[in-house]
Amino acid sequence: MLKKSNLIEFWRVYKQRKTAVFGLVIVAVFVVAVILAPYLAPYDPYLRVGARFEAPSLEHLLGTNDIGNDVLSELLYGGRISLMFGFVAASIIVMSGSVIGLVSGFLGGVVDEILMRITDIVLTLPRLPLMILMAAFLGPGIGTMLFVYCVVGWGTLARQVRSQVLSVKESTFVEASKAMGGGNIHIMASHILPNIIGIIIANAVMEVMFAILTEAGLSFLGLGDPTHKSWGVMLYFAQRQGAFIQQAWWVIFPPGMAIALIGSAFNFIGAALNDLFALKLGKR
Amino acid sequence: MPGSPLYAIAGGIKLTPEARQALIERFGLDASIQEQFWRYFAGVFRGDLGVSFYHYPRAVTAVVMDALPWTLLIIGSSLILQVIIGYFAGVTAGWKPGSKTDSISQTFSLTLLAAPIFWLGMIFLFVFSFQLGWFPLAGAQTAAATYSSTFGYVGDIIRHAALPIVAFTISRYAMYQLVLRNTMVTTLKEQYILTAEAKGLSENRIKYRHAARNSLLPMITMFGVSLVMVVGASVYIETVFSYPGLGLLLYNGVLNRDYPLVQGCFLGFAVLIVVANFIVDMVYMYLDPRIRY
Repeated sequence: MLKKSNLIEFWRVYKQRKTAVFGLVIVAVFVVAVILAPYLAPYDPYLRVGARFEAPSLEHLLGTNDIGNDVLSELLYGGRISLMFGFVAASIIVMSGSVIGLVSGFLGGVVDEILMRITDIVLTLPRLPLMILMAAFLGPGIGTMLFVYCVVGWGTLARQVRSQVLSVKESTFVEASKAMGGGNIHIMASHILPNIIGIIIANAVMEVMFAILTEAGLSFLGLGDPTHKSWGVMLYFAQRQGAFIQQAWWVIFPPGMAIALIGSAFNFIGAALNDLFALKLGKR
Repeated sequence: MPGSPLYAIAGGIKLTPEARQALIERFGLDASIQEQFWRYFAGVFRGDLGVSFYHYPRAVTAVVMDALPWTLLIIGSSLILQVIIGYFAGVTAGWKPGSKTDSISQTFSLTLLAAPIFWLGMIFLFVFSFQLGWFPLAGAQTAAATYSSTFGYVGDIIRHAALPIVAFTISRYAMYQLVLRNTMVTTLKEQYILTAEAKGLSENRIKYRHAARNSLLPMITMFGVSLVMVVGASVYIETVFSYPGLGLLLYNGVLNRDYPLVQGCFLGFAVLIVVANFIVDMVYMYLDPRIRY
């Protein structure tokens, strides 16, 4: 379990990886920036505060977009939506995926068969077209995107958790607990989960990245919510409203840069955690 | 009903009841769902996928067949490039794990994988087409152009396909690099690598013939699994570059509620993916002679 000494030891190993520490710093900076958006943003992102496609200047550090909104303010407020989507979607997916994987792996038999066949179906569906279809029919909006993403997103994690559970459940301590009359829920929660929590956390970090990328993609295709400007919606308008012809690089570059930066930060953290926990599992 | 195809056919104009009825009968929309499904299913085997609502009166089969070669061109050649680049990058990184080359290329890959594919496309389009003017702005070939030779025609097609191919390749090759790198690291610990070294084989021979060759299978498996993602990539890439392939067709089909066309696009993608998977299986057999089907 997570004891203080363990955490210190963990941090000692973790901080040796420069990219992992860098990732942590980036995530921290982004989270603080979007939380403080109302104080940091120079303008209201939904108000017309300048001319159309004004180049970056001291007044507008990242210029203005096609309808005269301040791009820097858009970026800060947009981050709220993109990051929020990432965290919420990842939490839902991680919770459902882990529970399904845990139950499936631990109980085995018919339950396992049924759950894994459903997982197979979810995994083989081409995700994006399905999401486009569902988003088109349910109507665009952030709620729809969240729902659709979570419905098809939990497969990979469930698979991974299940395979971990299968190896842990053969351990002697699980047998001992069973012999002492431990119930299924007790064994899953206090013996198996603590042993696979590392892999789950590492995956959760990656899931945030995938969710942010997917939200950006769907919004870019015009299936997002134009009244809640996320980074993807900004890129959608950049593509549609003539940013290319106007040579307005300040509209095209920043949102994608923000996505790539926060995404790679999560990637670095996830890769480091994965290595660390895989090492730990291997040692035992 | 917001998703009604009739609305899309009429282009948003309000239809008279008679016109409405005529359209419903023309497209067989009055039949029950089972009946419609059966008609579709029987039609598939005759190569008849119905008539597109949006491209009326063109048949879906014709519209899909027009788009399919373009997608095959950009996605197919990009997939091959991804595997080749991923192979060399992965072998180089995995040969000396923990080295500077390894850590730099890993960092680079993880960053590329986090960059949205359509954004990479937009950047390429902005820099190379709009700013530098090296590549065309949209489409798969210059409209109404006359070519002095076949050579000119091919050149024109390559110029149009170049940016989509490069954008897709750069955004996805890293997947293969990371997998191959990790397998290489494990393979290098095997006894036969030590034996090969003891025999005094050259570094390149050990690297490519012994280590890389035996590390290829997970990468090929990954290739097969990630083929589903091709659908998404083709939608994004073709939307950004206005490239007239299956992805753009599918996207527009959904927006226009053109159900027969959407079904046709999915079928087109399914055929591409099944064929590609078949090729992957053949490659598998070549790489690992123990595997027989």
